Amino acid sequence: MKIKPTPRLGMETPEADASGRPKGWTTNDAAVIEIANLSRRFGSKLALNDVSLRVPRGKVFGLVGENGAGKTTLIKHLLGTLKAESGSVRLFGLDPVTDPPGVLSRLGYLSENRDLPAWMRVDELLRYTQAFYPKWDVRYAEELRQQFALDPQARIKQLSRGELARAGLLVALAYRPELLLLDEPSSGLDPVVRRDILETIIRTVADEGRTVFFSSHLLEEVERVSDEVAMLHEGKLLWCGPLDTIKAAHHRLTLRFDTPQARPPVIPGALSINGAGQEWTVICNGARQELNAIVAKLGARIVEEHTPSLNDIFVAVIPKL
Amino acid sequence: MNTPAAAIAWEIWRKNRLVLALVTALLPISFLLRAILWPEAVQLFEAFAVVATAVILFWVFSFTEIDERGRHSGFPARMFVLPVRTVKLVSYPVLYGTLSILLFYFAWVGALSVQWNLNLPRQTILCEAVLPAAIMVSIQAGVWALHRFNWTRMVALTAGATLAGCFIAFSLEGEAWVSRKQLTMGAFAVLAVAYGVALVAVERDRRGNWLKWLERFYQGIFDALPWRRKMFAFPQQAQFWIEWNRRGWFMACVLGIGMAIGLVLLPLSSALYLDSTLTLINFSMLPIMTLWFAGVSGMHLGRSDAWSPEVTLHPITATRPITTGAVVFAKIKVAALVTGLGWIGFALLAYPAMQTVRWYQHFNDDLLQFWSTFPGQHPTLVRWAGNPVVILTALGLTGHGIVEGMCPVLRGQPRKQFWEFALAMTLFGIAILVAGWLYHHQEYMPGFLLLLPWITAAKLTWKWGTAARAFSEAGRSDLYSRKQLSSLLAIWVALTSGVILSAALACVAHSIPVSIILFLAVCVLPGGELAVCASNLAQNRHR
Amino acid sequence: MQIHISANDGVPIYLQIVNQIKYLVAAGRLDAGDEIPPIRVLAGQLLVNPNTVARAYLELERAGVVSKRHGSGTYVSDAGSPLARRERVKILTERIDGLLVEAQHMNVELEEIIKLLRERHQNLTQTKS
Repeated sequence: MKIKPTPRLGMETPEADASGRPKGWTTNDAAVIEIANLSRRFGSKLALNDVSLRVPRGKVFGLVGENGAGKTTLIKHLLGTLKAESGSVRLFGLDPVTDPPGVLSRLGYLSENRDLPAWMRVDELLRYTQAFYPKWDVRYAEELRQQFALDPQARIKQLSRGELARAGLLVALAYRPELLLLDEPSSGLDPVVRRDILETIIRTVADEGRTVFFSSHLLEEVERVSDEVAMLHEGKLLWCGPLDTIKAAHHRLTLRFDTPQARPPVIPGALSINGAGQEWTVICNGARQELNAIVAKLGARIVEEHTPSLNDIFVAVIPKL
Repeated sequence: MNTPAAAIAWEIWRKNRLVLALVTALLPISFLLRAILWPEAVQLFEAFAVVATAVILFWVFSFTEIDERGRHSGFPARMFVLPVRTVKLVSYPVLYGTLSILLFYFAWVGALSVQWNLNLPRQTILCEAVLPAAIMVSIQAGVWALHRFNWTRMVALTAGATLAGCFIAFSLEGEAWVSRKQLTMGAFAVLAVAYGVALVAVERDRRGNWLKWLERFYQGIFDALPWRRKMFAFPQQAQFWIEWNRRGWFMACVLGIGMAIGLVLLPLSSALYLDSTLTLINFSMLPIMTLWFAGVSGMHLGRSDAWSPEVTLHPITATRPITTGAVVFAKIKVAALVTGLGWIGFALLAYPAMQTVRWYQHFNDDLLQFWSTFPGQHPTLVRWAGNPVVILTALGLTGHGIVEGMCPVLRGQPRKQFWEFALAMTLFGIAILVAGWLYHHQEYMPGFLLLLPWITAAKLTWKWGTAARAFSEAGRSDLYSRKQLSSLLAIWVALTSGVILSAALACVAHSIPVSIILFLAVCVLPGGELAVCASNLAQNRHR
Repeated sequence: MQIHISANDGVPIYLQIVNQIKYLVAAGRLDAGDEIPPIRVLAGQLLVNPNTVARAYLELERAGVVSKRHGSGTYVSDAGSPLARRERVKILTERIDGLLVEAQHMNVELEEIIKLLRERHQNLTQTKS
């Protein structure tokens, strides 16, 4: 049985070892998050269906999916708030259910509804949170507080939505966690605060070896900052992999037919088809060469070709399921 | 449904179908029991049923809804955007509440007069009907008007209820203070005023302009109060602070006041010239009130956020790098401090509580000397209660009572908890029934006294068995640290020895049969709650 | 250094960065020897993943447009270097290709385009002087 030592304050910036990585971190380049065959049922509803994914260190991992797809459920499993019914969840090689302090001391979390006690003042919140993290950097916290323009005497219930998100972000960042876990960080926020959040994500990852895992349905943001993307739909993982690979597999083509078509052309592998008359726009996935052949067989030629944005792919894929 | 009236009625019914059905069912059940059980038991059940019906109806028709951030509950704010005038919006729940309480009042009055062949004058019944109606509307007005101020509302409603209760009880007793007519007129006035207050409050609230001055006043006080500005040196300190904050002093006051109430009720037996058995039961009001209020405080402490009804562990604690055992330990420390402060409060309130014996003058003029003659009349009791071992054990048991109240709540499963509580209350009720039956059939007493040791032994085995299992499971799991677990074990051993010693001392005094003392001792022995708390909280934290 | 990227463009972000920096160099707005911002600074400014910026810088380095000086940052390469000149020609070639394809679609003859080129060039030199 382990004896939990009482942590003390005082260490502001972590000392680094020879390779430049802060001491105390796992030295192998294993994944920060490893989820294997995770399933979860709520009553009759299957919230997560055999989900497996792996988040490598130092990357930004974006989780997308529609409302109710299971993103928050997945994140709760990472925190240990939900126990894995079948399958396993490991962060830094540890199980968040059997070793909460081991996992939680190395991650910073911002929940979708912020979850800050309404009665606390901002400075009380900072002082309360500080007690749990030896790596808390007081100067950095103060710098962030001023940058976010948070009044220390203000009570949490008086804060606006944007200030609430900033306060939550502040207490998640001040101790420079190895992993930053964000659940819909931009939901309901104005563009200025969203910018702050994106900047935070980038700054975190730019610091050597720190990882960000966030869920969002603002796909432009996911596209800008993510290295890897996974998509959940009704509890199942549809795709998971580097963003470039996913985008390379999808194409948006504009086809021009010689004669006006009365009904949409049938293209195997097409996710969505729009248009009228002689010109039709298709979003499809598949190998590029095969598409050439298919299009030629239909008697059309490709006049325009783009890589569809993540938004286009998402909107095209979902109704098909 | 094509009118607001019908819609509101349907909404109230739909939200509370089960409870209203239960309340309606109590009436025929009492008739059923009349055929089976003996009179005193039925009367007890009926008293309970009437009180339960009243409380439930007050709760149902207070017609509240919690706003999305769980900050306060008042008149459903979502109805403010409907194209209905406030007068209608308020009047319908008030009307339905009044009608339903009157319906149940008349139904019960009718049932009781049929069952017990009472013949109450019609005028009395009609006059007294105004009382429950006035109470219903006052409660509605109080709940809606003060919805943003939880504490104020609680204090106001409790104080109002107590005052009203005392006033009504005393005035109905004998026409000493006010005549029946004056009481009825007064009730009508209260009803009208309450209705008016409800209308004004909801209307102003709808415009966003109600009691802003009170809010500013409270804000001023809170800002002026000193709050902690120092840093926390340890996470355990921070956790203790968040557990104590906003409810620590409140629980201590509740405990102190509860114990003082036990003291106030003590002379009741002499006032009513009760015999020795009932006197003994009356004297036990003090420990019972203590344990009851301790348990209630514990149930409050078991929740995460001090004043919201949410039972899930709040994420601000669940996602901190702290072991579940440490969170429980912080709560146990709060329980200890509340116990200490509660007892100090009781000590401070003891003298004023003893002065209330003046109120009993009405029954018995000799009572003014009750407290001064008490040591002389009950020397063994006073000697036993004054023993330091007994006092320390009592302190420890109060603290443990808080832990016992907290333990099931930590699991965060309100439904399961409700059924367990119902089961416990049913068992308790059965025990009281059995005791009452024995009281009336004294010939069975010696036989029962022979049976009691077996029941005691069974209960002891059960308690110690569950305690052993709880502690060994806690030892195997990683929730408590070694040091924490050994302290909990030490507390358990200390409490158990304290109870055993106190029981031994009581046996030596020879005033009550030994088997009963042993039974009571086994009832208050600590079980495995201290150890189970952590696994309950772990179930809550990792669902 | 003013760069603007748009996530909805259809063009990968790293390519947008590469193209814009190449354009700035070719247009003379970035002189030889000018320092371009470090990866994390540009990433923070544009709000894109630092790996994307790193990839763009790698591409630019491979094309010879910039060169990394060990420890002290990334600088624009010398304008006279054959690699840089090749890059400039490549940019112009792409534009000419686009122009020719459009002209074909609009049914404009090559001679007309050349005539237009000479006209516009004359216009430009006149306004310059």
